[in-house]
Amino acid sequence: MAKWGMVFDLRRCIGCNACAVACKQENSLPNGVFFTKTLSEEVGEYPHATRTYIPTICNHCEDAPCERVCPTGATWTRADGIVMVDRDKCIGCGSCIVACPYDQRTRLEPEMLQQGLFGNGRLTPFEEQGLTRFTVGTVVKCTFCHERVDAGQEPACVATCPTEARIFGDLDDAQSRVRQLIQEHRARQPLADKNTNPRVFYID
Amino acid sequence: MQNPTQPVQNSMKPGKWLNSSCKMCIHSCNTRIHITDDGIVNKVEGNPTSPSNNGRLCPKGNAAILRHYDPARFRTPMRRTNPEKGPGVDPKWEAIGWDEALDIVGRELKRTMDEDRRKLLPAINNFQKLFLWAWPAAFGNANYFSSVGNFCGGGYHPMNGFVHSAFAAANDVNYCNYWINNGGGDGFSSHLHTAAQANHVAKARVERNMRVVVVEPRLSIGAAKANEWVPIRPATDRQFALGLCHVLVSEKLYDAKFLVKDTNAPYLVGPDGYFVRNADGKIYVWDAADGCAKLWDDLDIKELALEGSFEVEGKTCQPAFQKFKDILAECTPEQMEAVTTVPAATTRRIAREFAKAAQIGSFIEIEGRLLPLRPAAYNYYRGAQGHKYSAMANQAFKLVNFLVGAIDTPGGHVGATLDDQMQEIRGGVGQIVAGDNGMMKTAPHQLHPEVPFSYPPNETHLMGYFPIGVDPGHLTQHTLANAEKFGLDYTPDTMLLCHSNPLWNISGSREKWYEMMRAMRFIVAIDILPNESNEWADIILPAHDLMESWNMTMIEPPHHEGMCLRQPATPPLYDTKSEEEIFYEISERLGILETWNTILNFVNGFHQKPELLLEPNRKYTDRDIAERKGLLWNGKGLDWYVEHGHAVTPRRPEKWYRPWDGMRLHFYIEDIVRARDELRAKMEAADVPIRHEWEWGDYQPLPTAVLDPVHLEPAGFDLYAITFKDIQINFGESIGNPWINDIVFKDPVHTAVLLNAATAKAKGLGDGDIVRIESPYGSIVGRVALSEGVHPDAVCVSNALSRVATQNTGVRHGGGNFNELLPANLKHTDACSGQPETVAKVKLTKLAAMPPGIAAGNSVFGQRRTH
Amino acid sequence: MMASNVPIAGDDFRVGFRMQKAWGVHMATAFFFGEAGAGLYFVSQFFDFVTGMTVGLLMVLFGKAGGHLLHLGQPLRGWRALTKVRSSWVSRGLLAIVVFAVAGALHLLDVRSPFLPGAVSELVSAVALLACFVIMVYQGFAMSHSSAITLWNTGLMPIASLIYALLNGVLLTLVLGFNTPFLAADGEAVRLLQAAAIALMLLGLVTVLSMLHGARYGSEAGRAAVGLLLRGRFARWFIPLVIGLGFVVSALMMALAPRQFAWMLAVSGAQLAGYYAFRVLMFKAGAYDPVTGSAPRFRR
Repeated sequence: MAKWGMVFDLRRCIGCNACAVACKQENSLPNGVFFTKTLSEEVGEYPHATRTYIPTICNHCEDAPCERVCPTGATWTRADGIVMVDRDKCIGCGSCIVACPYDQRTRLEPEMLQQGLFGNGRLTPFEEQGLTRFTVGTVVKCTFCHERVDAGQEPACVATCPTEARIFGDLDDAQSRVRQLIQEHRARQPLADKNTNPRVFYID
Repeated sequence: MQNPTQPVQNSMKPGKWLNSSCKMCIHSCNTRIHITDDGIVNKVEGNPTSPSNNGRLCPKGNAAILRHYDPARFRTPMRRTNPEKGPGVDPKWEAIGWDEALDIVGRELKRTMDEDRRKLLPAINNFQKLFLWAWPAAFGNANYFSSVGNFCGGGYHPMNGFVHSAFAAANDVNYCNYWINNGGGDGFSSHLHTAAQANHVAKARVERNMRVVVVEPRLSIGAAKANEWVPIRPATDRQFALGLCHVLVSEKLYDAKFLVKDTNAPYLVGPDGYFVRNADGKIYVWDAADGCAKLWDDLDIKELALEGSFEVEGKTCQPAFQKFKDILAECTPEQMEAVTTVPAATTRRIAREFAKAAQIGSFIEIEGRLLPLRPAAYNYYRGAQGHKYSAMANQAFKLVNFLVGAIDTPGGHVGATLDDQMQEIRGGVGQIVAGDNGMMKTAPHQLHPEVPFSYPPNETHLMGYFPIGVDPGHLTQHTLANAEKFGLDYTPDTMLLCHSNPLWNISGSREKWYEMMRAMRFIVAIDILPNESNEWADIILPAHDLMESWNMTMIEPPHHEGMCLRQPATPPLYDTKSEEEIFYEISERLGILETWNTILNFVNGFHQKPELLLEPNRKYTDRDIAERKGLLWNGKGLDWYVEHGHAVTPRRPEKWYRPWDGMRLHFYIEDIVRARDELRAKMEAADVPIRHEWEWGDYQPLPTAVLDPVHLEPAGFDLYAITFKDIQINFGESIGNPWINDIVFKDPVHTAVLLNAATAKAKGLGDGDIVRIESPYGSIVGRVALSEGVHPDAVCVSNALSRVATQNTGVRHGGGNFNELLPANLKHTDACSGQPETVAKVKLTKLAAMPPGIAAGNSVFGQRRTH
Repeated sequence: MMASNVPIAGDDFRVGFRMQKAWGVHMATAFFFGEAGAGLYFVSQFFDFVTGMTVGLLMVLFGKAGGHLLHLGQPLRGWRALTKVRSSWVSRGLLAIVVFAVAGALHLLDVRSPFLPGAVSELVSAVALLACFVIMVYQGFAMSHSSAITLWNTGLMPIASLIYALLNGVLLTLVLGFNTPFLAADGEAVRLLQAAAIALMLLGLVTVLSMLHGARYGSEAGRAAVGLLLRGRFARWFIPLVIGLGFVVSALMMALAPRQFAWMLAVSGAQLAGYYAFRVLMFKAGAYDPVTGSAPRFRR
C-alpha cells in the first residue's frame, strides 16, 4: 500500500495560489474556505529583503492530533495515510480544529453554504452540483483529492501548479520522486517540534 | 444523503471533457473543460497535451467557471431608461429583444455615419479576436478610445517591430543562463502566457540554475524568486540599462563580430542623424584597414570600423556604434547611480556577470544550423518601458542585448510574433522582409497599418501623428479639452465598447472622462459583465463568454506557436450572441457588410488560401471564422481541433532564431529620425499649429540618459507612485470573481499601498494609516502597509485597488483609480511611440479616517476581519 | 509578528501566528458551568450540602451541556462523542457528564430519602464524586492535550481547571450555604472555606501566571498569545478581570470579609467574573505558531 505524501519545492513556488483556486473548483469550497493556500513572508531588511512563499495544506500527519482528539471517530486515516473526515459522524465540536497545529480545518457554518460564492444568497449551478458533498456544522479539510488519487491522478493543486512546486507521490516507494527529493534536499517537515510527523515536506 | 458511490470531487463526477483554451487574460493557454452529465461546467484544467502550458493554469485560468456563472452577467440585450448618466448611476436597464436592440444600434450608428464617420469613438479590446479591432476601419474611422497596447507597451511593441520585426519579445528560456528582468513579470507573474512561462522559467531556474536578476522598485514575485533583487528608483530603468551599456563598451565586453556583421552599428552616421549615402542611396562604412570609406556591400572591405570619426562625402561622420559610445561617455555607472540609486559597483558587477554569462564567441548547433549561443538576456516590460521617453527606454534595453550579441539567438532576447501564422497578415506583421542597404525592414506597426496624417486631425487621439507608435487613447482627453489648439473640427458623440473598459484602464482625470461620456449621444457596449465603462451605455449587447463561443487564436506565446481552439462547453446560458454575429448584424444594418468581409479576409490572411475567403455579402458565425483560421494554420478542420484542442508546438527554430539571417539589424534606428522629419514636413505643409509644441526631442535614433519629465514635477511631490499587477490579477478584469477575490484580498500587497518602512517612519506613517496620495493631476486614497520590499522613493499601489464602485457590486472598489494620478497630455506622452508616463510624482497626506464614500458598499476597506 | 503590532486587515495569506476561532463563547460558557457546577457539587458533597449539590448538578446538566449543544455543529448527533474515550478527552468528558448526571441524581435522591442499599449508596456517591472530579479537570486536559496551541499546551492547564473548580465550588458553597444550617452552625467550616478560598486564589494566581510564563518561552505563538493578554488587545480585559477581580480583589475581599451575605455574594461574583473572563480569554488568545515557526531555515 502506498503512503501518499507531498513535497513543496520552495525554490519553484511563486505564491500565485493557482493551487488554492484549483482546489476550490475541484472541491466546491465556499468563500473563505481553503484546503490549501500559499502564504508569503517578507524576510530581511531593505535592500536585502526578499519574500518567501510557503504553500500549506493538510499534512496528513502520521501521528495526527486531529484524529486523536476526535470524540466520534469521524476523523480517520486510510490505509494509504490519507486523513479523512466522515461527515456522517462529525458532530462539529471543533476539537480537531484546535488540535491541528496547521490551521487546516474548517467547520462549515450555515452561512458558508447558504450565502453563495457571489454573496447574494443564491447558488450558481456550479455550487448546486458541488455543495451537496457538504454537511453543515461538520468539519472539512484537504483529502489529497482522494478520488483523483484513487483514479491514478494527481491532486488538483499539484496538477495545476504552474511551476511544478508541488510534487505528490508514494513515500514508501524508495524510487518515487518525493522520496528522492526528500533525501537529496534535507527536506523538513512543518512545525516538526509538534510531533505530528507530517507527510508533507519542504525543500529549498 | 448522497449516494456513497457517487464521487464528490468535481473532476471525478460523471461527465465529459472538452478541449478548449483559456480567455481569462489576453493569452490562450490550452485547457480542458469538464461538463457533468447534467450539462454543468464543474472543472477547468490545463490541457496536459499542450507543450506550452503543460497542463498548468494560473489562478485566473482556474477561476474561469465563475465568470461563466457570474450572476451579474448581461442576460439579454438591454436599453437604458435612466437618462441621467454618471459613475455608479443605475442605468435602469430594460430588457429588449435582439432585433430591436440591433435596429437601435444600426439606426444610431447610421446617423453617425451620415453625419461624420469620425464621430465614433470605438474601444474594441478583445485580444483573442484581434480581427474585431479592424471593424472601425469598415466604418471608416481610425479613432481609438482605450489604452490597450500603449499602457502595456506603447514603445515596447514598435521597438520589437524595429528590432525583431515582432510584436513581443522574450528571453529564450531554452538556453538562457542569466536572466535580467526589468519591470516585467515574464516568467513569474504576468505577460506572455503566464502559466506557461512560469513553468518553463521555474525549470530553468531550478534545474539549470539559471541566474535571475530583477531590477524593480518593488519586490515583485520575480524579485522574490530572483537570485538578486536590484531596487531602483521608479522611471529610471533606461538610465540603469545605459549604465550597463557603458560598462560593456568601456570594458570591451561586447560582441564586436555580431555588431559588425549582423547590425548597422558600423554604418556611418552624418551630422543630420541620417546614414551617409552616396548618390544611389548606398550607405558608407569605414574600412579601418584601408583607412577609407567604402559602400556597405563592398566585397573588398577588410575591417569594418565601429569607432572613429571620419570625413565622407564632405560630411563629418561616425559609425553608429561610435555615436552610441559618445552617448555612453556621459552614462558612467556613477553618473547613473545619482539617478537610479543603483550602486555603481552593482551595475559594474552585473554588467560583467552578464557579459561573462553571454559566452560571446560560442556557438550551438540546432537542427543542423550553427547558431551563436548567447545564454544571457535582458528582458523588460510595462514597468520599465512605461515612461515618457519610452522609445528610448525600449531601445536602451535592446542595446544591452545587442552589445553581447544576444538578439534572436539561443539563450538571448528573441522576438515573439503575435500570431505568427502566415505572411502578410495585417500588412505583414511578424514577417521578415529585407529592407534597404542590407538591413531588415523595420515593422513598427504591429497592430494595424499606419494611419494617414491629417489636418484637421481625423482622430481625437492623433494617431495620424504617431506614424511609428501605438494608439495613444489617453490623448483624446487632451485634444477635446484643447479642441481649438488641435484644430479638431468635430466632437465625437458616439461610442462603441467591445470587451473594453477604458474608464478603468486609461490615464487622466476621471472627471474629464465623465464629462466626455456625458456628452455622448449614443453608446453601445458589447460585453459580458457590468463595469465602469459600459454602465454609461444606452444599449447593451450581451456577448457569449469563453465557455459558449468558438474561436481560434494564438496570442504571443513566447516559446510555442500554433492555433488554440475555443469551443462552447455549454449552450449559451442567456440570450447572448458571439461578437462575430453582433458585428455582422451591425455591419449589415449599416450597409458595410462587404467592406467588413473584405477587411476580415485581409486581417485574418484568408486571401492566402482563396478557398477560405469570406464571400462579400454573407454573414458568418464565430464557428465559421474559427474553422477558417484553423484551416489556414495547418489545413485541419474543426473536427481535428475539437479532438486535439490545439496545434501548439515549440516554435520552429528557423523562425525563432535569427529568422533574418543575412540581413542587418537596426542597432541605430534611422527610421525614427526619418519618421520625425516626415511628420514635421507634413505638419509644416499643413500648417498644424500644434507642431511648435510637438515633442520633437522624443525621436532619437539612439537612447540618451535625459531625465523623463516626471522627475521634474514640483518639489513638494517627493515620492513616486507606481502600480502593479501580480499573477492573480494579470491583464483584464478579475476583481469580482469570488475565487480571485478570495486569494487577492488576503495580503496587504493588494489591500494597502506599500511604503518602504524607513520612509514611512520618516514621514510619521505606520501600518494601517490612511493617506491621500496626490499627484499634480489627481488624487486617490489608500491605507498604508509598511514593507522592506519597496524602494524608499516608491509608493506601490496594487491594481486590485483600482476599481471604482459600479452596478457590479461583486467588484470590490479601492480608494480611487491609480490612473487618476497620471497626466493625459502631450508633455508626458512619448511623441515617438504614443506611450504615456505610468509613474506619478506624489505626496502623501495622512487622513484621520477613510472617507465614508470610499469605505462604503463593497469596498476593499470595508472588509471585516474574517477571524 | 508580535502581538503589539496587530496586522492590518487582509493578512490571512501572510505567514504569521493564527488565532484559534473554533472554540468561542458557547464553549467558554460550557466550560464555566462545568467547572463551577462540578466544583460546587464536589465541595457540597463534602459537606452533604444538598442545595449546593443540586445546584451544581443542574449547572452541569443545563449550563455545561447546554453550552456544548449550542456550540456543536451537529448537536443531534452529539451522542456520538461517547465513542472515542480511548483517546479523546472530549469523549471522556462526555462520559463523565453522563455518569455524573446519573450517579449524582441518584445520590441526591438517596440523600433526601434514602432508598439505596448501604453499599450501593456508597458506591453511587463515590462514582458521582469521581465523575464530578473528572469534569473538574478534563477540560484542562482537552485543552492541553494537543501541542497546536502553546498557550494551552501545558500540564498546568488541568491544574488550573482543578483549582478554579475547587475555588468556584468553595465560593458558591459559601454563598448558597450562607445562614443555612450547616454553615451557620459551623463557624469552623466557614473559616475553613474562607481560608481555602484565599489559598486557592493565591494558588490560582500563581498557576495562571506560571502558565503565561511557560507559554511566553514555549514558542512564537505562545509569546504572541501572552502579549495579547498582557499588553495587546485582550489586556484591558485580562488584567483587570482575570488577575485583578478574579484573584487579587476577591482574595483581599475574602480576607477582610465581614460575615455578611452581600460580601460573600460580592466576593464570589468577583471571582466568577474573573473565571469567566479567564475561560473566554484563554480561547480568544489561543494562537497557533506560524507554519515556519520552528524551522529557521525556512527564512533564508
